[in-house]
Amino acid sequence: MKEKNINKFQTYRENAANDLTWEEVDAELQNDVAFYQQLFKGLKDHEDLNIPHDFSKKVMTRIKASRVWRPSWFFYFACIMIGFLIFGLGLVCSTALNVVPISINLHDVLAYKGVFIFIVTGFVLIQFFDHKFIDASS
Amino acid sequence: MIDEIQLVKAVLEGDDRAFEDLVRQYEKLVFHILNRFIPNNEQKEDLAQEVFIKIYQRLKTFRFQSKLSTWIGKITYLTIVDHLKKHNAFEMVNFEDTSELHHYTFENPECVLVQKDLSRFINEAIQNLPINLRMVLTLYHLNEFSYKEIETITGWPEGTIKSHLFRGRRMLKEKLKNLSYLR
Repeated sequence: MKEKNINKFQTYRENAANDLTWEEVDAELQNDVAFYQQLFKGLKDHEDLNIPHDFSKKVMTRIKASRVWRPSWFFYFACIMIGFLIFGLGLVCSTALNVVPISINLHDVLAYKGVFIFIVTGFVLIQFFDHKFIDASS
Repeated sequence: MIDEIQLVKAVLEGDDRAFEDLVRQYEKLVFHILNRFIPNNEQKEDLAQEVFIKIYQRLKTFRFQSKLSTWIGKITYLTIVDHLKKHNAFEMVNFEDTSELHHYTFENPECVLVQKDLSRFINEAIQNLPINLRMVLTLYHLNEFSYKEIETITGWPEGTIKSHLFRGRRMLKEKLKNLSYLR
């Protein structure tokens, strides 16, 4: 709305600078219409657009390529989280069932959770920006 | 000319050939608009492909509230604006001004050029107008959109469109007058 008002104001200012009323602008736009139609018709008919003959095929190739599934950053994130969960569960279960030959202190593992979170977040961010980069360049 | 409703329906049902038909039907419209703003042929083709990919991806949101050509024009316009903004060229995309080199007079038979060359010159004259004026002139005269349709495409009020058209025509006339085209 604000932009519309600015546009309107700009238009009034432009017309004021030309010392014309809206009626005069309208009349002038009607006056020369045949000339400009002729001018642009010539341009339209003879302009070299340089459209490749296989343009539609190229578009379809790109569209088909875009249909190929590519993992999103959320997919990577979910995979890491699931992996992390399995690892954690395995650790907890093996500790509880006493199947790990070497003694693992759960508190020691949890003390390193900051490092885990750092690695996981870093990996997710790398994947996220990598994916963004692929999107932008494709 | 294939009915646009049938065409859109076919594309939405997954018919690739229908989309290829749509591309063939509207490629001229897209290239006509792009031609006024993008001087480089490779960039132009790349942007045209981008426009059609956007059309493909967003076609399901098309509600037939306007003509398909108006909707495609709007996507083309927004793609151009995005591209120019991305390259910081929104206010300054200028094509090489070769107007000084041309001497088109109907009096001199030696200088009467074939229509194609004249079109190239008119194109250059348009391309040296400010972007907003160029856009309105292109949409109104070349693509033959109405004021209402241009309002839908650009989002500018009708008064602004008329004002741009008026100023664009005046500036174009001046450029052509300098080259004796209107004498």
